[in-house]
Amino acid sequence: MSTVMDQSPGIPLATNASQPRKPLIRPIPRKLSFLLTVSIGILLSASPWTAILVVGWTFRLMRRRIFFGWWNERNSDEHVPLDAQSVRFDDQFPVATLPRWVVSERVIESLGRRTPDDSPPTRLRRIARLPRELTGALRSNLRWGIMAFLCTLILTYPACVLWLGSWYDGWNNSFTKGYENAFVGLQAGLFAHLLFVLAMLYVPMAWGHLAASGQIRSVFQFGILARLIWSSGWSVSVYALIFSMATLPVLALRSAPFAFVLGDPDAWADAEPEEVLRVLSQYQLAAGIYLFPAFVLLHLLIARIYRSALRKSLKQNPRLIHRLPHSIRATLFEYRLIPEDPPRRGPALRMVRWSARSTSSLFALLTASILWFIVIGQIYVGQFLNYLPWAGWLNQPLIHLPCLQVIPRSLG
Amino acid sequence: MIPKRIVPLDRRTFLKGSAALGLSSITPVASQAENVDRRPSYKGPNVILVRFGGGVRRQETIASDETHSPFLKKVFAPQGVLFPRMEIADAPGVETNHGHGTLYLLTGRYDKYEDVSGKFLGSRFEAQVPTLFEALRKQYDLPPHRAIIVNGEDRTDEEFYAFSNHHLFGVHFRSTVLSLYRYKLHVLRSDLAQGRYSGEEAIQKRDQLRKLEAVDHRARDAEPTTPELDAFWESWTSYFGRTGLVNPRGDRLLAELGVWAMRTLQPALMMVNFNDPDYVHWGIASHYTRGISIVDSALRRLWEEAERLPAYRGNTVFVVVPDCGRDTNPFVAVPFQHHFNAHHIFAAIAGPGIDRGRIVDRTVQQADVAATIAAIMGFPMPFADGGSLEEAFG
Repeated sequence: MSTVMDQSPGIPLATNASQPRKPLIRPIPRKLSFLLTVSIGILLSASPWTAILVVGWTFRLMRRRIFFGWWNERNSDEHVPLDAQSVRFDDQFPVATLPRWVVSERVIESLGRRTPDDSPPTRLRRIARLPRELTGALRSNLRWGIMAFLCTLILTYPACVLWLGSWYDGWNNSFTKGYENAFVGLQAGLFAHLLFVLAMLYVPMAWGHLAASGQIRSVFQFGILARLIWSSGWSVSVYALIFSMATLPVLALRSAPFAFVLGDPDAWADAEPEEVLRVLSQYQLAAGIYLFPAFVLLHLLIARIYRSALRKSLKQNPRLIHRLPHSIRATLFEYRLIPEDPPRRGPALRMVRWSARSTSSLFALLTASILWFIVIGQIYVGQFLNYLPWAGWLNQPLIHLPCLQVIPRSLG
Repeated sequence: MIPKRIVPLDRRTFLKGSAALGLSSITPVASQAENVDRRPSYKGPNVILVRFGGGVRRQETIASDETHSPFLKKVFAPQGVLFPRMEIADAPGVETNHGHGTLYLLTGRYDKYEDVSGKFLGSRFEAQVPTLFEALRKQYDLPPHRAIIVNGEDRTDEEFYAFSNHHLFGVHFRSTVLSLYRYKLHVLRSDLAQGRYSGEEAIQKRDQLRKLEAVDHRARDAEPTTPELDAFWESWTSYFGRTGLVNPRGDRLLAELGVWAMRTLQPALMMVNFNDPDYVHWGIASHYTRGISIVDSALRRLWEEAERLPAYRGNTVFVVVPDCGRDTNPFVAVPFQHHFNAHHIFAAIAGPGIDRGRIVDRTVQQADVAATIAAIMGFPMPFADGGSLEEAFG
């Protein structure tokens, strides 16, 4: 498991930023640490229960990337490393380049943290702190994972649940030839598509906002997020395009089991369930080789888009800063990234700029909407080729939990 | 009991028939017409071919005690001969599909078929060799309404398997089709003939009728209907109305049409293309098992009707065979969702002249069914590749 291994060498730890402490355990090479971290991510993507940790880990990484990006853009001559700064935001902020999976990012310094009366901790106190620090990252990943998953759930499940219901009702009605009610399944399905497209125009930016703020309520700051989406222009379309392309391998992965026996239909007809389960478990694990990096990279991409969109929106309307969550506001103040009021231009020029920007944003959103329909198409094709009764509708691996869930329930 | 003169044909008789038929292809057209006019009337056993579609496995039908088709397994099969190891040939160009399987059953050949309209996943196929109906009607003086296909509304392409493109057979020896499509045609035709519509509505209805008729492009030269068929639909509409919303639906409709046909049209050969189990393509597993149960109930209804009606009692052979099997894929949640490579099927034959309580434990072919039916009814199937299932006759 990830321990102190993935700690960035050369980045001083926080408590005494000016006096870098010599690590007690020699860090392993960075490449090996990276491989180990990614391998754990792939392993955790094999089950929906552990995939929640991947979600949390990804959001913590997004958080770091967003702040790191702003820190790089800061208006300051200070040469203080980000991690020396970041410790002041909250103690969940990952100090290493990649967050850890289990052990706290600041395990050594936390164990040696001075007591409230500013005396060094006793040996007994260090031991008492040990269990908490040894599982700090695990608890953070879990907390962030649950938080991010729940928020995504709330925003996307109206569409997903409606898909499930409309598909079931629609085909059930078709099976019983209920001509009089044929519209129900169809129209509910179309309405679900609309809800999904609307959700997915919003949700990615909300992911960025959640990662930056660390607060669930920030996901529901509809006004701010709508402004960010609007001002991000064609970035949302590019993101939708990349996302829809990234879901193509997911379609292939989730559908592939239907073709496992095509070559020799009798070869597996009498196979023991344990044997089938073993093959599918290995397949699901192998699918993580794509799912984990794709999930992380797509989230990092939206983190980058969010970071730029927020600054762009602030340039257009600096008063927006007062509506932002505290942690974001404080950081932007600290980095002196709050722009002055933009110079006022003449009404004609403002009108021209507004019209051009609005037209462009409108077309960008329309394009993005069409591209999200491609994702819907892939979900439906996948369900036709290999029907996954619940997960096929309720868990989209690059949106919800990065896990394929192709193992039939009858196999356990 | 089956009449004595209706003896199943052996291979020699088939060969003779084939030779005769082959020679007839080089004789002038006029003499063909004369031969047609001299055809004997058909007095043999009736055959009801139940296509246990769309695509079922042995597991849920004949192979398990927990069958979803209890009538087929526990009542029907023990009264006849069961071929539990029937296969669709695993050869290049042979598909395990509904349309393909239906034509393999009707022609006795594993021909390669392509949708004539070029539609993706379409199954508008045209047989190149005669179907059972054409062969029967060419051999015997049997009016079209006594050779019937009962077809569902989900696979309308299969409406048009009523005749082949073979120059010696074709549309003049076709079967009659009973389906919702034909019902709509009848209602539109009769409504327009009776002046039920006027003005713009009449124009719309005429246009609607033209579009429906255009679908059956090969039948343009043939009479669109017969007095018997018109009488059948008149009787149907007077009972179920003209909306199409009162009659039974799905495969229950096919059973109803089949029963009505037996009561009024009295077909000598009737094929009923059941299809409900195929709904499992959309992933809901219970549609498959439920569909099997519905087809099983429909089979029982047809069987009981045959026992009840004087024209059929003791004179009707039932042949039950799926159009194709279904996949057995343990790696997916619904192992039988599709039928990409589903060659394993079965057949059950019961009725007068058929052995009882026999299970034939050898591999037989779906293409053998056509020759077997031809043997039961006593006409040649010269172009069929499959042979008669001799074990059926004891």
